[in-house]
Amino acid sequence: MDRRRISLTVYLMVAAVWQIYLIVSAFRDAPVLRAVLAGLGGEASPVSRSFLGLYLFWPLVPIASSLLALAALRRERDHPSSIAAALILSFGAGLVLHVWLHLAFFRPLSQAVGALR
Amino acid sequence: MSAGATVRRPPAETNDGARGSGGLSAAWLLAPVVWQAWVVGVAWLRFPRLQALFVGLGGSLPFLTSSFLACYRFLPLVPTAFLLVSLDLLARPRRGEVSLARYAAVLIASAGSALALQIWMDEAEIGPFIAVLWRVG
Repeated sequence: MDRRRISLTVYLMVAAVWQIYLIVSAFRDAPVLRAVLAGLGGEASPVSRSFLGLYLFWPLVPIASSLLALAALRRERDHPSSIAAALILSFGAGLVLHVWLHLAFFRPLSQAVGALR
Repeated sequence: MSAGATVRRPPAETNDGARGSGGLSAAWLLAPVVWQAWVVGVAWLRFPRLQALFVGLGGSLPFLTSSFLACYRFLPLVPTAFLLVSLDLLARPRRGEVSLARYAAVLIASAGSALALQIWMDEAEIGPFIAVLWRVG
């Protein structure tokens, strides 16, 4: 195993752990967000609504990106660009989940905390 | 050759596989340092304001938040340390002293630290909001 392969494996594992953490956070905190939105009344932002509608499907993301990463690692010697695509997709997916989670949470939570104060 | 002597390796083995691109090796090692620096920068920008807000919320702060608030000013030491270790490692192949195990250990520690910092900051940020909402509702 050379340095490049070690680096790719480490990076892909870090991306997978990051995605799994975000999914655990989503499942842990979504009931709180739902209760806050119900308590606030009015209409939730599209980001929050889309988050609550879709977070149950988030576990598909690390499964898909892990399968892609494994395939890319296997074909690395023949198709060096496939590994770059796998890395970009893995970290890109993590970043999208991260931003989505934060946008979905912070505005309603700030509103709720502001209302409580 | 004595048993304890350093074995000098040919350049193809000490670089990135058959390609021998030291620049790529630098990118692999330094990318987690950039991630760490980004997290630390965000923490320094956001947390002074959040600290005041958390005090206003009342109650005791979750452990991850209070520990992060106590430590975030010292967090620039993390990317600095990993930058120095990575640069040291990158300078070594020219002297033929690099080992794959050491490279892997530094990369795992560096990338793992970046992820740990990110998760710690995220939990520290959202924890007090969740706690206050559980307390009220």
